[in-house]
Amino acid sequence: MKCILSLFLGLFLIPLSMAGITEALSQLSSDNYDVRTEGRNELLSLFAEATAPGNEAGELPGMLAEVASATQKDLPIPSRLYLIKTLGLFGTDTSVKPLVLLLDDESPKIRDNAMQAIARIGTDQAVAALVQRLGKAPESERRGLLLALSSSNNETAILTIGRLLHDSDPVLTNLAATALGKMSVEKAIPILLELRNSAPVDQRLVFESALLDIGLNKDIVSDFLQNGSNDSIRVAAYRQLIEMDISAAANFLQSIIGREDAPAHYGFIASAASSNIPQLYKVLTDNIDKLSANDRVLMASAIGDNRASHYEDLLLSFLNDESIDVRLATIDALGWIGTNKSFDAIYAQYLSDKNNDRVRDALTRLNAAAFDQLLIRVLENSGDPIEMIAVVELIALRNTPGTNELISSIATSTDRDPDLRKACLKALETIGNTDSVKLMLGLILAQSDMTRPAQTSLKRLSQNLGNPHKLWLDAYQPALATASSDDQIKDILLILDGVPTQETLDYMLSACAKPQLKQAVLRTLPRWTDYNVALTWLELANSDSSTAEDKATALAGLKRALTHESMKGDIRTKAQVAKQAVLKAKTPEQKLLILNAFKDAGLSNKDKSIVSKEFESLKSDEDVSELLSELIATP
Amino acid sequence: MNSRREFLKKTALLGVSGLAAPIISKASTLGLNGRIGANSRINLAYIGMGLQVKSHLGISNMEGVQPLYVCDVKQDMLSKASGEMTKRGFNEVTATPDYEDVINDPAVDAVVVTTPDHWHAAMAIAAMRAGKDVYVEKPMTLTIEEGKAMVEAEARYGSIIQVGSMQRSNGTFRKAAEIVRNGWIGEIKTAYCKLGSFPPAQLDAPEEIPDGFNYDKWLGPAPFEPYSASRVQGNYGGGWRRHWDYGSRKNGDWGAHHYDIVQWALGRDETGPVKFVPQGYQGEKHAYYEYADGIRVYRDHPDSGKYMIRIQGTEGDVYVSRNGQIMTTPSGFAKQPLGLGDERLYLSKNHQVNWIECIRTRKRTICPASVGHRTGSICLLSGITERLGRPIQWDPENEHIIGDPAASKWESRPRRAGYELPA
Repeated sequence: MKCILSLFLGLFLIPLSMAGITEALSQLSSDNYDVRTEGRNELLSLFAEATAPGNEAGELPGMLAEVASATQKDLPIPSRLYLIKTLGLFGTDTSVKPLVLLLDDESPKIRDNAMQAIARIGTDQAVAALVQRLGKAPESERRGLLLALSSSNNETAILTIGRLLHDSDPVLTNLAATALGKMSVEKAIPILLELRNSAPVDQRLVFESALLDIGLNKDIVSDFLQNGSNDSIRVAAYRQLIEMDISAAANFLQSIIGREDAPAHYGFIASAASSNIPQLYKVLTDNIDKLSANDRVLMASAIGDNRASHYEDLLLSFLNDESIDVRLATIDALGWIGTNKSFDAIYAQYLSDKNNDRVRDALTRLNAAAFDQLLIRVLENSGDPIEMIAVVELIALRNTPGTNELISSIATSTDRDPDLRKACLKALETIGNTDSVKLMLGLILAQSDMTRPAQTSLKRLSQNLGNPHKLWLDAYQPALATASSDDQIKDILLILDGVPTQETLDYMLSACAKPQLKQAVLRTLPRWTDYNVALTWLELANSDSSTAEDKATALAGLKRALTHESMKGDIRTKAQVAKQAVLKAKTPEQKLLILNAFKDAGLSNKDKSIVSKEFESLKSDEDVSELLSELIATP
Repeated sequence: MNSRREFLKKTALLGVSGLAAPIISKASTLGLNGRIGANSRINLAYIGMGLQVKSHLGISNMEGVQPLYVCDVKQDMLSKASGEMTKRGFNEVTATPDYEDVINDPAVDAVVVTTPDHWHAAMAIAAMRAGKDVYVEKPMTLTIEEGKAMVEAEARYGSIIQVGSMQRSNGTFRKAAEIVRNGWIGEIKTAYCKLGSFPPAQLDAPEEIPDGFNYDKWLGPAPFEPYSASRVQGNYGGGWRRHWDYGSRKNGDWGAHHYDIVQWALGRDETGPVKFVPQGYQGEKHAYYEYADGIRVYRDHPDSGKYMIRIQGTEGDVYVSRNGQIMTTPSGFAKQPLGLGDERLYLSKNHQVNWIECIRTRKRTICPASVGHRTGSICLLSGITERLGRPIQWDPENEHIIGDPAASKWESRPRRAGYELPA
């Protein structure tokens, strides 16, 4: 009785985490891989909790012991590997001994994993175990052990790794060199240098990389600059020289100028240029006549990258360069650092090729406030229209502040050059505001030679401003209310897709009462990219005042509204609109036309789920139930 | 200042041909080693011919670029890749299962790495050490340690690296970032990023390794697991990306894109967050990370709305997605041009073109390793908290996890012998 009670009590006293470990471990040998997955996940969860800051003193030792014990058992290899990995992640010194036992396992994968796990524990004891093992390891294991040692990040491993620099196996020597480099072991420099110098040229890279890791002294730098096994090493050496001795770096730079065929020439120039160090730039600028076009491209690029504005004059001199590549790189750089004094030159480029993105970008970003003021003064004093158009384009590009009113007044002045007025309207597309919208509506209502340009610009401006609801209420609706002729209304209807709102659609529908306006509506609606237009098309299709031709157009529009790639919105919105449409549809054919839009689209399973939910209330509609079932069926 | 007429009608300094021709057709070779191909050519190699490389095959057809190699450990992928190259008019591209052939060939100037994440660092660093410039897919690395090694290599060798966070080369995302940078929506409080989820990583019954597939090399540094087709599958819905041994799950998938844009918008490319909290921890419904100034970035929060990213300020919001979708409150910011004095971000209109141009000019790319590493670190640290189920504190200056020795171990990982990280 007492024994049973003790056992009963004992069970309750087993910590939940230990019970969890036991359960998880048992899952790792399941034939069901989902169960194995669950076991792994549970192990991770338990260990994560046990090792959370503040929890370490708890059940962790017991948990580790149980896992360690399980690694020795007859579990599937992948499960054992996972447990070994777990010990590496969460283990302590107590985990080292059981892992060491695994170094004699018959499976090479187990042995390799155990090495890595010991290294990951990374304590002095762990490293000592690996060092001891290395002393008696067979050839096949030594690489893994060395890799494990070098990844331990433990300084006690350095001596052992250092000995492997003399190993007869070049793979081990290379690995040891890499490891010592990563650990920045300065004492290893002489031997690494010796190994490097005695190795064939094509085998020097690993030693040179290790030396770079540790940090070169001047002698080694000098050697690598001339004799590095590849240009990367030469350049890396030069970059270290720049950090350690600028004068020496400058002297070296001087020595390679004009020698484009020298190894790593461009790498040296690029490194010097990107360093942004005045002494190095002085070498480059003092020898500008000896620099090749490529060298100058590197300089210009680096000046832009470094935002080194004090080299603006130098860059300006590059704009006269015979090499187009230099000129282009210079334009890029001036865009970043240029000021008022660069404006003339870049603007001249712009005039010669307004479509060149790089010039436009540079001109747009140029910090030239004084020139903006000049542009405004030019605009205020009437002059050559061609000149004025160029100025207007520039003002729009740079979004010069305080110009909206001036440009607007030119756009509306009937005594100004028509091309200039058009240019102003175009400029307002980007810099205009709600007042500009009203201005353009006024031009349309005026039915003049500016009507067309105003329509184009108004639509673009409306789309750029966004907030179509506000634009409709504040500008469009009042303008339409003042219209005194159908021609005026028609001209506005033709661009109402620029303000896509329900109110706009309602207005357009009401406008269809007049045949002349209906034609304008039928031309505009196909450009609508909002799904709601489908309902408007449906109304038109079912309107008594629609002709047969109108109805056919409307049904085609309806289909387009639910299928065209230009339509904006997600599947849920589309389904919601479609549902409303089906409920309003007058014939089974209309219903099927609407729902076939989804069939044509090819729905993913996720989309089908959304559509199914939205169309729930339609499933009982006999006209569409079969099609719906087909639509939402998943394979 | 010259007369107005004079200044507007100056002879174009760029000559009759102007700037119509892009630099790529005229620039001389400027490779690090000065030995980039004859006649202004960049000799290119691809490593990893799976799902993602399709986005990059067009680089081969850029003027002045010559593909030399396609490389994959799966023979069927290699054959397909060779066929693709032939279709593009390149009949002399070498197909090799060993990336070392690419690295060791001095004729190769530039390498595109589109393997699974766990191979990115080793290949990229080996390529840099061999004097090659690299385009590496995002997320840049699988561990923090690898990220640091890549940043170090980039600085050491002056390599031109482009990390594949290509949303930075998209005007809509750039505009969103500029709106934030210029304070148009006020002080930033919160950001929301939609990442979604992958199916869980499941173990599968072992299958026979297909002929012509070097599975051991595919695993590379990653721990051994028996082969199954679904484990190695390239699949936007999961595949190998479900497994932590090869990727960071959704953190490295959409996270590497969207967290990157948030970093860019906030101007944090040289630093990072200080705290990461996983979903479910003490009732937290959504994972998030937080910067030192309190800006919090949520994952998959309902307040993101319909867009992929939402950045919320004290005076408005900017919402942005792919396909040119951007919305702001107040409205109108999306198309409002920047003005004088506004901060303008790096303009790149095409991520691959930017890389090739920078190879020639040695200008920094829009997403060099130093930037990719900071974003990648966010992805990796998010993954660490997800696995440990508890918050971690991060020191972005010294780049270490603070006060959690168990979590700190996840900053690196052991590598199988034969698949070491090169210096």
